[in-house]
Amino acid sequence: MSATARFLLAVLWAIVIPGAAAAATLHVGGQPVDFIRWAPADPDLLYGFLKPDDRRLDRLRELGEDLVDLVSRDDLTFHADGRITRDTTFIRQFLTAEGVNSYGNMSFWAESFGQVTTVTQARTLLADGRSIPVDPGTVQLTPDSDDDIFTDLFEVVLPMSGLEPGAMAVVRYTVDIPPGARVVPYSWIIRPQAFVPQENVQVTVRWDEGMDPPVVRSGHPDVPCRETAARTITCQGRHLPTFPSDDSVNYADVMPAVVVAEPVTWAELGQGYARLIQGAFSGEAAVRAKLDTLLAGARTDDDKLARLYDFVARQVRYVGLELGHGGQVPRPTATTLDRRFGDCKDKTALFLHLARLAGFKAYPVLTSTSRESVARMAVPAQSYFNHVVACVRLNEGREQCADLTASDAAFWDSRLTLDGAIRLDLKPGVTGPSRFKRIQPRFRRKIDIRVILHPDGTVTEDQAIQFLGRSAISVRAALGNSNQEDLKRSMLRYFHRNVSDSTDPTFSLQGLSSAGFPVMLHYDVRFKNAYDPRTQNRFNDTESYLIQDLNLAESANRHFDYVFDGLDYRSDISYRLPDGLLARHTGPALDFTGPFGSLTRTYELADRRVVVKTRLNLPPQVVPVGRVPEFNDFLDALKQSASMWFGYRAVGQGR
Amino acid sequence: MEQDRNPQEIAHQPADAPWLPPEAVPAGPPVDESEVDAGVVSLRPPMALWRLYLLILGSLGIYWIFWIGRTGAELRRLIDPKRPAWLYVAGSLIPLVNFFTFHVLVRRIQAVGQKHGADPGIPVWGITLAFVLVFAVVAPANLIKDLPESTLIPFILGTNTLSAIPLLMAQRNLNRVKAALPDVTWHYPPGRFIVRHYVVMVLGFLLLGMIATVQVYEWTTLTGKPLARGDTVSGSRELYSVIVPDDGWTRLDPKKHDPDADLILLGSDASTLVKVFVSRRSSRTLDSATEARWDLLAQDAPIDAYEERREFLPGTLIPVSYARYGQSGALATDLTWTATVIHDGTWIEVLALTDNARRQESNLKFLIDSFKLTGLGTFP
Repeated sequence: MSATARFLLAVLWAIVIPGAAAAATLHVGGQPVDFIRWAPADPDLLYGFLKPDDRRLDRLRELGEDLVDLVSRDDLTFHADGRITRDTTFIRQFLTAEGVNSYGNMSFWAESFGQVTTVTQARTLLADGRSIPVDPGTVQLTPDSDDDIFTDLFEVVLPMSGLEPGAMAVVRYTVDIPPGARVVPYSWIIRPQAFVPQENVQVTVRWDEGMDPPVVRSGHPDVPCRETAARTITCQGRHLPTFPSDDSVNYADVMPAVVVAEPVTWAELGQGYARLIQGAFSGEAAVRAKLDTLLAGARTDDDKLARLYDFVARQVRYVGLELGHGGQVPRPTATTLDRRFGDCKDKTALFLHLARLAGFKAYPVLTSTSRESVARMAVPAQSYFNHVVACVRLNEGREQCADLTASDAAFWDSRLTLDGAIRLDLKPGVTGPSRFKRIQPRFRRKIDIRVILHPDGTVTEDQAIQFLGRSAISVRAALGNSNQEDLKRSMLRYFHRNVSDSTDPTFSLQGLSSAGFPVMLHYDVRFKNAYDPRTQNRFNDTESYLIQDLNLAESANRHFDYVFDGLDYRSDISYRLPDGLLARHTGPALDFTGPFGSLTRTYELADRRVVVKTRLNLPPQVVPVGRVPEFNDFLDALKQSASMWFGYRAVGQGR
Repeated sequence: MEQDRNPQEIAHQPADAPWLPPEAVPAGPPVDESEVDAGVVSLRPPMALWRLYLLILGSLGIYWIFWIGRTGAELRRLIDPKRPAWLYVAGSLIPLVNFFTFHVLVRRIQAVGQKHGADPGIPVWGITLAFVLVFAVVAPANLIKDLPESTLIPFILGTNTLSAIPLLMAQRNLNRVKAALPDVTWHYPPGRFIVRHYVVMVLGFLLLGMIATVQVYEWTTLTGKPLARGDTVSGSRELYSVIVPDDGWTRLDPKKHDPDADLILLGSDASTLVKVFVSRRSSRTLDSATEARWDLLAQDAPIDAYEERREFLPGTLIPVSYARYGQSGALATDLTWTATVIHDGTWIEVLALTDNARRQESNLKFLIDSFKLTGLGTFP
């Protein structure tokens, strides 16, 4: 029997023999966890059968791999009574000590609401034939929550015992999802190829007789799906290498997936979710009363919408209670109004309720802020989306969308945070997802610097840096809650990193609390002995903020197209010479126009004054991976032009 | 043909030193009356026209001024005691006034002849007309700035021959008048050159020789492959190309002129030159390259005009710097254009210079703008 055949037989054997032990309640930290059952069986899994060919393992080590997933298998069954069960098996082999040390804890996600997860295998297999089970007393649960988001999703971490290079970790668990645990059509996105090489990937979907078959679609060319038996679809792939990684990449868009979903159209999906939001409209009297208060004195539609937005975005704070159905169903608007907190769907529902009562044609839009590729969304599925926003169709036909969680933005510019994101409008007539158009570059800065050259060689600068559009929103989000000491530290660090670390400027920051306006950063700085008017006849300067922005725009992508968010940089730098000196020659005028954007610079020269105007415009664009080096070369070429200079002469001196 | 010797003249010369003036001839301050009327007068002997022509040619025209001054001095002695010789010299140096001055001089020669019953032969108006015509031709010719170097010597000889014509006509009349003068002694024996003539001619021929030497040098070294307008020229490694802006350009051998250069083109005039430098200088930036060029040029003369623009070389993402330097020197305004690129650690600079900006600036700009890289992907 060949090694490959023996391996496949072992895999099959490992899968068809389920855990047979009696289930027990898992205790974590001495407390019982009722949504996880501990029932590992002890089948005679033989290391020798599971172990791949030595040459294959050597090859993987040569490629620098520390571990390999020998088996990754998901079996989903759609039952006639509405239940869905999922049986998942992982067998991972550790190839190096680094693999053991860094990845020796196996883990999976389990939901506490309405679902029961049963661990049926959790053990280590060693080359000498020993089998070491995971001690249930060492199992840890980590909630998927942060300061403002609370979920019933937990990461179950299994510290594997007795690991050493060559050892295998076997984990298997089943999830039982009752129909009552779901309020939207079920969908499951599986990534068959990830950052660990996969030897055998399999997704099997079964359904009971008489049911509509679920949709199973593979986006991976090496993991095809086919009907393998009656009411059974199997997607299988072998020897999948590690998925390539890049610095600037949205994996949700590029990493192929197998999607399993209950059959539904985009329209049905949208209408279903729209009904959930509509169903949240409640307490009309209280909402209307609030509306009257908010709109008192407002005359224009723009003003009314801005007031509604300001209230919901800034006076209803963000708290995500994604517990139970709360992960999908918005809370009653009266509750949100009363509590003054909510997550994206709660806030959006409240805004929509207020806006509709005010007579606006407002509707919700399901959004995916982690995706930009509609083509990758091959199957109508709720799982693609992670956000809800509100849009309003104004009388002149113009649509204005707003993200109610962007508390650092104003109604009119909160839309900027959605540039490029996927959208599914929850209104009649919508047949599928589309994208929010990109309105403007993500990074926008306007810089005004007044430089005064003093006769003693001192140079004083008044720098005003305006962050515009989405940049202003980002700065507000990053610094809005900082205390004065933190602000000072941040501003000094920013100056030292970008301009000079030889001196400390005084600074002021304006617009942090004025959503909708630019954030303005002022530096007043003095450089002693910056030039010598007696021995020099040329003043050199460097546009350091331009270099910083160009550095940020670079990409190290080697595998995937680079989605560049755009950069708009404008600077006006004026120099004033002391009495007795007159400006004359200037540095080079720039006119770099290339396939990715443009950089221009002009000099204006009059007596003792020189003004340098620089404009950089790199529009948002997708740079094909093959052209990323060219894109970086383009930026490098522009960086070479960050230096500026002008000549001067003493009054009365010849030309 | 004029007589070289007048028998009357010989009688007045000392036997041992016939070229010295007789002792009886007083030399001194101006007198109220002409010396001829007063008695014996000492003059330069009549001069054969071929001798005068040789003197003018040999002195590269310098003898012209001497002739005017000396003749003026003789006229002063013969007929115009109140008109100093320098007046003729000064008048001859002022354009338009020189017509009148020369006319007066010729007329005074005529007057001396009439006074002594001699017919000078060529009418005054004829000589004056010849002078005007010759001046009308020679003066504009001297203003030609873009004269090809190879025509310089023929040009000098031609203009000097032309300008000698009125002088020769006047000398012919003067010879006749002198032959008719009574009681005259000659400074030196007629029919020979004196030392000063030789000195003037030697100096002139030396100057001519120097010009000829330079000409020969330039002829032998500044010659190369002739180029035509629109020709595309590459350097030794074909990393780049430029287009020749005009006819009359030449490609020179860098090994003979500037081994640092990769390509040298000589413009249609010798004051226009294009050099291309190629070097592996990975640390160099466009800023440092243009600053280095500035410093080099400023060593010769202050830079009083400077413009630079940077853009991508057409069809590439390679920045190129186009710079224009203007320098006012003591004699001329020098203009320099540069095109500089740095690509893959290789620095290429096209340096185009001229002191004939009026004619060559558009040519140089065309050439600089035509610069492009042709060896992309093959850079060292």
